[in-house]
Amino acid sequence: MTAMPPIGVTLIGGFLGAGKTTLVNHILRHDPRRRIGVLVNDFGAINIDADLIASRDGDAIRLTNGCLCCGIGDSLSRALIDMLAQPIRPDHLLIEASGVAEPWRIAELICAAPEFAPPMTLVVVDGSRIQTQLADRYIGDLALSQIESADLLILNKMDLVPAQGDLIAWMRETWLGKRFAISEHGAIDPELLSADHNPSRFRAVRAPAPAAADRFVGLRFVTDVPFDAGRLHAAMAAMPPWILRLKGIVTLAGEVAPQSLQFTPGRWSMTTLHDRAAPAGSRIVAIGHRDRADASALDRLLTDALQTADLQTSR
Amino acid sequence: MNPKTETIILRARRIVTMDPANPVATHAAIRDGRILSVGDLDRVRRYGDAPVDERFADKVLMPGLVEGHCHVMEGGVWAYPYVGYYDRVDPAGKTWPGLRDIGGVIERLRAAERGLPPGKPLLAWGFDPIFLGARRMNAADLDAVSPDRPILVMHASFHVLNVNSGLMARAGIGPDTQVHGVLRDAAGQPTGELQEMAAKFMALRVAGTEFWRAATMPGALDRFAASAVRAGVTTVTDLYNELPDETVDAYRTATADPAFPVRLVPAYNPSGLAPEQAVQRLAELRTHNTERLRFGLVKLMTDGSIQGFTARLKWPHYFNGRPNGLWNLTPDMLYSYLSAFHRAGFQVHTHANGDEASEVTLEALERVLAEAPRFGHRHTIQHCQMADAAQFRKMAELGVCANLFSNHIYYWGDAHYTETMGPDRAEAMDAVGTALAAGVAAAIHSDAPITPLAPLFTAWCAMERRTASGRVLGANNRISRQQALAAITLGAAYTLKLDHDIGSIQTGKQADFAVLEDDPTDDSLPLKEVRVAGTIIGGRYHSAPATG
Repeated sequence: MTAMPPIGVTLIGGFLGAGKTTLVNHILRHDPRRRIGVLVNDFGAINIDADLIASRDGDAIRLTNGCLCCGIGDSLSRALIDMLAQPIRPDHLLIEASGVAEPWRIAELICAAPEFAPPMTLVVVDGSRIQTQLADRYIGDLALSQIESADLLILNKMDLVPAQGDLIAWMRETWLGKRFAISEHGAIDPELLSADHNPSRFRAVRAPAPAAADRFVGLRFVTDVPFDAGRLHAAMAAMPPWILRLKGIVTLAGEVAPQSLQFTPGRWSMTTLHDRAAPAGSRIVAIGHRDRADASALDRLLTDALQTADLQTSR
Repeated sequence: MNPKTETIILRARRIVTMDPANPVATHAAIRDGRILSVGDLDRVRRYGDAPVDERFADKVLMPGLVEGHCHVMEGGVWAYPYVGYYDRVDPAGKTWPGLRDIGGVIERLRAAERGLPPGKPLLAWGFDPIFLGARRMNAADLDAVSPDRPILVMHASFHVLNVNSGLMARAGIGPDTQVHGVLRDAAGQPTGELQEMAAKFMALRVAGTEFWRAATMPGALDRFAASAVRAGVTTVTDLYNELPDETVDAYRTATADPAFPVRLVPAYNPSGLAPEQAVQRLAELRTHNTERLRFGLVKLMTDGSIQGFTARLKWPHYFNGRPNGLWNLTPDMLYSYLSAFHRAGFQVHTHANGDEASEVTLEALERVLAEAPRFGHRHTIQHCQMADAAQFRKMAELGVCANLFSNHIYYWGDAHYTETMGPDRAEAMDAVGTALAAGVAAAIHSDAPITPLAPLFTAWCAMERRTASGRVLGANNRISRQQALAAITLGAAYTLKLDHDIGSIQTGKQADFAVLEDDPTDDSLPLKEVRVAGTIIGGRYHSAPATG
């Protein structure tokens, strides 16, 4: 549709108060190289620092770099379409997602428009509150979903965390392989946004462009029913060959502490995560070869490993 | 006001006043658009002789009905052809027969296509595949209407849509498209059914964004009002609107015309502004208030919808094991907005479908009321579909009202029984009987255009609790005819803080009537079969277009 290079996109997720706006301001100020446009989808006013604003036009702000900063309002689709219709096209778009957004949903939307490059999902976490949030009975599942969908996790407000080392170790161990950056007041290196990244394979979504990316599929398995340890062992031994990687946090029947499950072909491990405030239930993600993938077979395999092999599954 | 303004006496076969102290009458004297006197001819003449309007001599009058939860979008969707499963009547009174198979849908689309200029996308709405058997509509079906012109059919849920090949080609949807929500057949070809936001986005950007603008397009407000007249409704809500200036101007212009046949009560969606600024905005809007247009309600969203599996449910969660739904506001954000509007003296309506959402809402309300006690706040939980007796008792304690979604029992009750909630909770859903027994002030609603705007039908749903398949869902939560009629008049008016002005026929109140062909208190006639002739608002008659 267009000969121009695709617009890079960074999704910035995380709860209200995590420091997303501060981070956006920091990036605008410290990345003079790119023309950055901004879409804001959080509750409340668009809080861009005054010296970064050239003019205001109704609800939109014209930034000193020539790009627009607008609110998303009730429709991200409409905001994206309007953004693409602007005379000055940004090189890069920052989307500050609503605090309740599940960033993978927005990532899918971006992937649906060829003008945009596959987005990178950056989730900002308030280091001083994250463990409380994960244990919260109402928002614990949302906090977990946000962290899981992050390509890069920003541990912010670390100046407020007394035992920084413990928190970082816990996060790294709980989300093995996740990229982390530590920050105070949203100060991160803007280069982190352009560094080569693996767009999230969560939910098997990406743009049609890079041929390699289309060879893989990501699947997700979530359940509230505990696994039976013996059956889960059997399931790991019977993993079909198209699965390249599988990992997750699982709860076993009769065990209080959750387990970290890791699988690569021919090899798997399960380690007890002692003293973890991880929410109840199990969440497993798998990556596999798209052409051979059989999602329902994997679903059956894992469902059969549950303590009560009944309904409670979803992918 | 001119004290010599004309007085007119309406004579009716019967006037059902909904005033328990004076329940039935035959005559009502009207002056200055308000009720002067209600009773027999002798009584209403004591204010002086006046001409008698005989047009309603064979009709039954009751207070103008109040729809406490609907949307201006009801006027927007009728710009496009309706292709749903159930019969539906448009604002002009034309019945669109329900379409029982895909062939019928195609035929109706063909007829609509013939009237369109070349190249203009064909949009339609209301399609509901649940009732059409195993085969799903696909692009080839729609290609039979036109392979080239983009065609987009929005489902009744507004969450899913179908498109044709012409639209897919323009949107770049093909076998290689890897976007969540693009449905495929066994050979890997997209079927033309698009299910999630991302997939729908691909289609909507090609078809134009008209569906988004439908509510503010010319004619939408008039169609909305005409829908209300047809249903005997004189007060409507527009229950979630960011209320930008152009919308406010359109509402002010429309309602300033004495020929506009409804009172409009919008509820402000504050999510574009921080709480303090949003409070300021609503305070400004309130300065525009008239007797026909009243700003002052604010609406907050908590969860999604039960049938879309996005409502937040307490244990044991979804019956079919789907993961729990999503939050539109986190509990602490809900508290911030609630607290700001409560402290500023506003009335807050909170959308909560699932029982976890109503629980979170009640926790926030309890906290706010402990911090800043206030009499008569009448904060209202909207939908409140899964609240149980304990939650209703808590609502009664806190002075919180409920506006329940009784139409859900008919339209989705069967699906709730078998898929979303299971038998126990489906039978206890939209529990108007339980709410009233607990002492909660309750109303019932349609959420039009999600379901048709027709309070008498909604009242029938609350009375009978019958699903589309005929199953009675929770017989013990049925309410009486009198309670059902109260819920669509004074009950709804109470949740809008307008019960002093509308909702019953009493001296001093607005002369707003539903004009009926049949007597709604006649026990032998199901309420949904009571025919509406029109409405009277402020003493002025608006006849409903003949249904045909």
